[in-house]
Amino acid sequence: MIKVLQNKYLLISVQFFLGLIFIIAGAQKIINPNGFAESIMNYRIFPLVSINYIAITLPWIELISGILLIFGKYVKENALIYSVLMAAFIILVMSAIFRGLDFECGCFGTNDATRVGWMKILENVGLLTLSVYVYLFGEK
Amino acid sequence: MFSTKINIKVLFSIVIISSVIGLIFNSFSSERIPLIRDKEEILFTNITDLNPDSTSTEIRALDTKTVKELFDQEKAVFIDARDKWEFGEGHISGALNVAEYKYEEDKSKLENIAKDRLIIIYCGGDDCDLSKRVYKKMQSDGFKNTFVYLDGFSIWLENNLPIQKVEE
Repeated sequence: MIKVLQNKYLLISVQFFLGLIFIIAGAQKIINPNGFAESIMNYRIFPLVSINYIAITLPWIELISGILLIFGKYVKENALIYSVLMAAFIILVMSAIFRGLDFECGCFGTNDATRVGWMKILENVGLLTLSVYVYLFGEK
Repeated sequence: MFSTKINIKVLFSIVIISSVIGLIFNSFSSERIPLIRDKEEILFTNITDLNPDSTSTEIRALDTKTVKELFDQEKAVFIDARDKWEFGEGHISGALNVAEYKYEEDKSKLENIAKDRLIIIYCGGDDCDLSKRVYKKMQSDGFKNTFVYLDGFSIWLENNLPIQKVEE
């Protein structure tokens, strides 16, 4: 099993896949920062003063992390950033579900009509698993 | 085997450099947003203050009592900003479904409505923002006599006011 997980080609494919997802997610939010800021507001967790700052910076962290992952640069560091963000997104979506909030998640900017729900959590858990795998087995 | 060792300096550099690029990009972007968000002002309006040419930047809102009166007098067009599934399960009688997430597609339903017509937009309840977003979009499309029914469908339903369902 460990041998399979250490397979160079498997790792590169997963890195590429994760990188691509982050690039798309980041770019969609960069195009429409105001829409993304409103999505963040929907979660009703963050203080108003922090909303726009998150909307301006987070998409670029996703975009640059995604690009670095695709090019295999600082793989472990980027995979850790990915994992932390995914864990945070899972907690955010879960908290929205438990508070009975119902809105589009804003995960891929405002073009994403997926609502917060268990399907979204499942998707994020999948991405979290892959990013933890890259963090553990990826090149230094 | 695997290792969990990372270079913490590299990790912070990626986060900080990305954030700085974001801040610089935002200050030159045409979609620029201010670093600190302004508080959204919600202005409750009485039935006597329904002014068709309001240019106020606040969101003008109506309470259930006023909305009910306007509904009874058949004075307003109701817009449901939720998705088609929620709309199908039940909506204010006679409301049009202009879903926030596909506003550009749904706004063709507004073509026959005069720009100065009294329009009341609502969504699920006071914890949803869909109606406020559709309100802003409609305002920028030239509909000046628009209001948000902030209590939304949940309170309408609680008051046993007329609803409709979409038959399959």
